Amino acid sequence: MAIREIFQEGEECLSKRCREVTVFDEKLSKLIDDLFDTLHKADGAGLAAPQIGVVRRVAVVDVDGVTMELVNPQIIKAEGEQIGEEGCLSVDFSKNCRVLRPQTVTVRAYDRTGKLFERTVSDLPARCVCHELDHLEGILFFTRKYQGK
Amino acid sequence: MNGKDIKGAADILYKILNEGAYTHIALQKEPSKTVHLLVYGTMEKYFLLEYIVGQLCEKIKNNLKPMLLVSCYAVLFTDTPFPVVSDSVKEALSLAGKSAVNGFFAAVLARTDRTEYVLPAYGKKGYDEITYNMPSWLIGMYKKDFPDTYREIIAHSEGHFTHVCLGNAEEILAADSHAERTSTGFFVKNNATFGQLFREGKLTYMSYGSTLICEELGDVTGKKILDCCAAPGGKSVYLAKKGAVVTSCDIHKHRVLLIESYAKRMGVTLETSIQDATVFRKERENAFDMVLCDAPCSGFGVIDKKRDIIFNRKYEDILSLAALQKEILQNVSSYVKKGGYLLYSTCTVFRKENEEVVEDFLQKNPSFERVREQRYLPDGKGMEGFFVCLMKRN
Repeated sequence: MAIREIFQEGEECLSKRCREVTVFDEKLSKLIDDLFDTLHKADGAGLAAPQIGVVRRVAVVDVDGVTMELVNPQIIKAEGEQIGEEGCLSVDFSKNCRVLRPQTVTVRAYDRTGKLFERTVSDLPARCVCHELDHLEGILFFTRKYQGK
Repeated sequence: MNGKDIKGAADILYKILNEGAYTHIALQKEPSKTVHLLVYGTMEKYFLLEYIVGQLCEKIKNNLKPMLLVSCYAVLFTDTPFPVVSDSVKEALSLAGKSAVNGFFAAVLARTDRTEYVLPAYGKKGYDEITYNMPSWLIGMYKKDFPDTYREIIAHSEGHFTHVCLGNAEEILAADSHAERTSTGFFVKNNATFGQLFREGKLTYMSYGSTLICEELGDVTGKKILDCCAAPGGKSVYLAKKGAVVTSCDIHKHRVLLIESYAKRMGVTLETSIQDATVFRKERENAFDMVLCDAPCSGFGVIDKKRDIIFNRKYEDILSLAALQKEILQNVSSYVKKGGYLLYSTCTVFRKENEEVVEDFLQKNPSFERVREQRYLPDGKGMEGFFVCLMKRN
């Protein structure tokens, strides 16, 4: 159990492309626990490892009853479109803006034990998954700001 | 960061993009850490930066592009404050004698800093290129050959692992107690001791994949082997160490010198010659028990070590490489004795350079039959992407 500091926009770890996880050990498990703890404390929807300064492809999502831990995640299918307001625990809320995301995504990832799984989510959880995956590429949501009406 | 760094990085990037230079060689004589950071950083985010720059300005001259990309990288991804970057860019432009475009650069960088660009949403044009940092034709190649797993394969192509072989197990474990044993050597965390052992010829760095290719030949003791595209000589030396009598050839003189120094360092004797593998040599006909044809290939099984191939290779290159591979394989197959073996290998994952080349060869040469064929994919745990096919001459 540990609450970690959430790094803010401008820190280098948030603009790095994260590395793959290759070892599924106690340390990874601890990292995922910390991510959940930090997420719940901050009352967010999702949190990626680079947000707490760990440049690894790990993220957690907990929103609208969807709880997922994602290690080395990939979006393997996406359908539809949704446009909605988005924010981020690492970015000042004055930068919140609308972003175009897929309505439904199927994500393929490992859990902390190294087991591969696939899961399809829609609406807010889908938006959240896309947002966290962007973090793993070093991309922040407002750079994808929706330009239309 | 100062003007010199930005100019230095831009010059090197120009060489990589336009003159086909290898990144690590272009950077060899560069003492500034900042330049290294800027070059590698810009290449890691190349397609993102190109997208941003493409959105913020209509047209950019080829000779200014590297400078602009490096500057944008400095603005977005380094912790140097914007005014400092801005001043450095100004200085760099005056050093390069391009002060005339000062205003243009300043405007583009200011707009970059204010995030006046918009990145594409999922599934839109440019999204894949940015995510995988690859040109779209290349992503298309992966998608075509691996419709279901291409994402993992691309992601796994990036891992970097150091594999050593031909060494003494005790010495290796003493240098790195966490060394992980493989069937042919060890995955290690590189350190100075390994460098020392390497110089003394007590072990060598060789990817796990390369050693597995050699192992395909089975017991080689006393066998006469031709390695027809041998440079830098790793596989030749490996086979010689296992007891084979090896003849190593390469088309370029400086590459043959590489083979010789490699063999000398490892203390083995090889017969070497400068030889174009597509040119027939009468005296070699039916002369070898085994021929190893580790053909020139696009190298997309081992991207991590040679990131520049992503920028320099084009789709047409894959087609011309496949043609060359067929030509080489056809020519060297005549050197195999009756009952001998022909081993074809590449370090790429694409069907065009692998299965299709072998299929084509076997169709034209019914005297050869396929014994084993195996394609390895990058798994992120040290395995690299490569292909190997063992054929027997009847």
